[in-house]
Amino acid sequence: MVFASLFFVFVFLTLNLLSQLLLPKPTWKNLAMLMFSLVFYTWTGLRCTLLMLLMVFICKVGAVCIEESKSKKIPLAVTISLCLGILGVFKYAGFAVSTAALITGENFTVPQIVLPIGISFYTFQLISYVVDVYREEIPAQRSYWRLLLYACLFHQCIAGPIVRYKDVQKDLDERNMNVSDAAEGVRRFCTGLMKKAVIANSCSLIADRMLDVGADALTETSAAGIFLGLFALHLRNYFDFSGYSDMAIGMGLICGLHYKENFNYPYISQSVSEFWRRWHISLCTFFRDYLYFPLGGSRCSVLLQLRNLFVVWFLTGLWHGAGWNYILWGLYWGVMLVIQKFVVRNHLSWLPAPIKILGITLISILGLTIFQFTDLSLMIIALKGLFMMNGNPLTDFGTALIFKNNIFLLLFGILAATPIFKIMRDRLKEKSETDTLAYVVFAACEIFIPLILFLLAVDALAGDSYNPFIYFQF
Amino acid sequence: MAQDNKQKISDTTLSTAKIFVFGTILAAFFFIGLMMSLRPHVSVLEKRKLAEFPEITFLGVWNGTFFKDLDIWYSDTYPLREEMIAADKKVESAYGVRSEQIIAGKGDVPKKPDEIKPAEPEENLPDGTVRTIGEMRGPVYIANNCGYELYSFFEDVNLEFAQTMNNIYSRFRGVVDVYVMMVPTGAGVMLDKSVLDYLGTSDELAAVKFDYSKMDPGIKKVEVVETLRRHNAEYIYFHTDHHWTALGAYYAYREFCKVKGIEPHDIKDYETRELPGFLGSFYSESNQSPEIAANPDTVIAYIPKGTNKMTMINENNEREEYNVINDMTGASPSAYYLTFVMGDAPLCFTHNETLHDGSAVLVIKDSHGNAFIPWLVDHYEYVYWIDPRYTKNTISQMIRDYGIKDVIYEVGIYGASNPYMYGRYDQIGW
Repeated sequence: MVFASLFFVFVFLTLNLLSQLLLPKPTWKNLAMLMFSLVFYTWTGLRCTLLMLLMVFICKVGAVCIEESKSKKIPLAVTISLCLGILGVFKYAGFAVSTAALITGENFTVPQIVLPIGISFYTFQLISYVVDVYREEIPAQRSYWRLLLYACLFHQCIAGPIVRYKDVQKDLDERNMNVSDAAEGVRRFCTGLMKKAVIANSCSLIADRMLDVGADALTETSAAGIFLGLFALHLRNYFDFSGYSDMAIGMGLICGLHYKENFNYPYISQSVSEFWRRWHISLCTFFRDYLYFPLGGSRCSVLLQLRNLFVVWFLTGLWHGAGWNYILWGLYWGVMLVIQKFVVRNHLSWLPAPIKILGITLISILGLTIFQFTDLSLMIIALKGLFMMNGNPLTDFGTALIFKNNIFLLLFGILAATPIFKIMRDRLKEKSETDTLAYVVFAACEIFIPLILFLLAVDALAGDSYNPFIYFQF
Repeated sequence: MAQDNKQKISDTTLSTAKIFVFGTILAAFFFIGLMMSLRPHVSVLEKRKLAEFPEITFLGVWNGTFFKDLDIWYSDTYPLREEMIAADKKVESAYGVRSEQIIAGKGDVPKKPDEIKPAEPEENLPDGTVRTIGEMRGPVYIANNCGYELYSFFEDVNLEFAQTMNNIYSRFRGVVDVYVMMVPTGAGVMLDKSVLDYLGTSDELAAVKFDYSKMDPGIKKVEVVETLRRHNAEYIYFHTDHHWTALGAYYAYREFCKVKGIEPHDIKDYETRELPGFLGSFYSESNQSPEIAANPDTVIAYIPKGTNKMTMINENNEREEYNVINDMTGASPSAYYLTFVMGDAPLCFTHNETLHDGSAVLVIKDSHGNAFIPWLVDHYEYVYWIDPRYTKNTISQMIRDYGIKDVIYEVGIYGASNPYMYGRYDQIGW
């Protein structure tokens, strides 16, 4: 099941919220939430659910062993190895075999293994749980079903944010639902749904029109056309992923669960490191806390720092997909970080903020070219095409028409990717505390804007019989 | 303190109101979705059969396909779906600056083009030209209880359309024969020039000739406006729908045969199927005009002799078997046009086993093509057709995989003015 579907919104979510509202005790709410989450996950196939149940069992036993044994490292290593091993088999076996075939020239049979939905997300959640038990930051959860609820909670198990057990344990135990959180949750959910169903999906169509065209057509596509396609992708990625996070956070709030923010307006970043402090925050903090810092972080020699950055960004790329383009993309960002940290440093701090933002935007879009094309030959055509090295023109009438037909959408997307609407809302809210007219306007906006966003989103969903979230492959 | 309490009460009231409004709307959508009797089986808007409730199998539950199909069924047949799509289209129209296409207003006057070889004159036929001044109901012009959609010509987009066709042709020159057949609206065929001038609409024959004059000489152009005008006393356009009838498509087919150099079959040789009571697109677009309701259509279809079987490859890449001419008895009267090849789909084909010459044609069509395609079935062993709005196939792929020798672009005259449509031609025209 996906969030952006009529069935999820009109049936599943409605029944789920009803169960959370009507059931009086936290335990009953949690049991109902677990049932709904298992149904949600089983939507992708019973076999995927069984795998998740197994993974949770492994981590439950592993965490208890870690807590009770004198040598904690062994059960930790075994548990993490098993989790990563399962992830490796399902996600990377095909990639590993095809790469070995490429290197050796042998004709290996590439296994066709169906990737269980969300395996990357819940595996990392469970690893974070097990490591936090090892670090004695949280006690091991003795109840299998409570740990299962944490891992498979449908709000975030399919596509994040990666939630740490310590961040939701209290909420899960107490389940304090209140009107204020619920109202904020409604607003976040409606905003997220609109971001995904309207902006992200529309930008996706533009990107497909320009880029999903095959080698011959891509070679002929003008530089402006390729750039327009990549820019639309750039917007799509943000609105798709942050929209999903908004929906997850919103649904959590309605149910009394507080997830941390996963996106903080990354497209206003003025440096590479700032970008990655604002983009997919839960993944970045995971790699920082569970890999980068244990490796030594930046508190070591320059050579070791470079090694640590290489490892983290290699794995970041690999996490995003089983393909060399994803690894290259991760390393690309690693190189950008190294350049910023060791070469640029503060030398460009004098540049005005808009120039720095534009620079990071262009770096991000260039990186997208690597990320988007799993076929390396198409990637090269696109990269060359950006600089008219395919013999392609600067622009063409088709690109101009598509741009003209979508100019307001793109402009709105640019604005919505900045905090401008949030600032306007905050200022109006502040004024409403002392001004009656402002309060009336604020109240009307608070009630009707989420409703309008919701209706726009469901109208957009109506035409899509199937509308998968782009991060589903993870 | 009192002020803080007052603020808290206000915040709580506001939050409660927000939750109440959202909850009410969500509950309303939930209950509407439960009303199974309201779920449609056919989409009038998209001219296709909608998803059916999936069969429950262990394999489907095991691998998730049952749930995926259930999701699709729920969304596809949601009772308010078409209204929601219509609302979404209105929102999409605000995404950017778009050329005016379907308006009853003054477009450019098509410049006098070079002459195209005129159709051979036939015996004197009765004149069915409409000279009555009617009225507008929404976007539909109604005269003599018949609806018409009005056309405006804009030179810039038509030049782009012609250039698009030239670009496509240049990729396949010498590989396949490329035909372009622009299909006029009923207004362009039935209404007198005086009425068209009164309404401020453009002459469609001049528009078609202009477009053809800008196309490569190697493209085989099929001019059908003049022959349709000569037969405008006959039932060649629906009264309640923007499509032509099978008879109108037949006259276009005869023009195609002339250009291709083959002998058309006699319409009298075909078995017919009739379905009265059709109320098409004009009925809904005119807000259920009583004049149109008083003049419902009869869908008369001519069943191909070689085969009436067709295969559809749907959006999920699954094969579905239908007839070229389907029996729509029992369906909603607004869906009777699905009689012809079951509407629009990514890819469909027929195999006429009475022919063994390997001949294959590809028709890139809009919905007018649905009534035209049945006439080709008896001439080609294989007839393939794709709707550019839905297909992911490219022409070179079709040529490679199916041995296509003729490619026919059936273009409703609006398609030539629709950058999205001819943009799609370009995308798949590789």
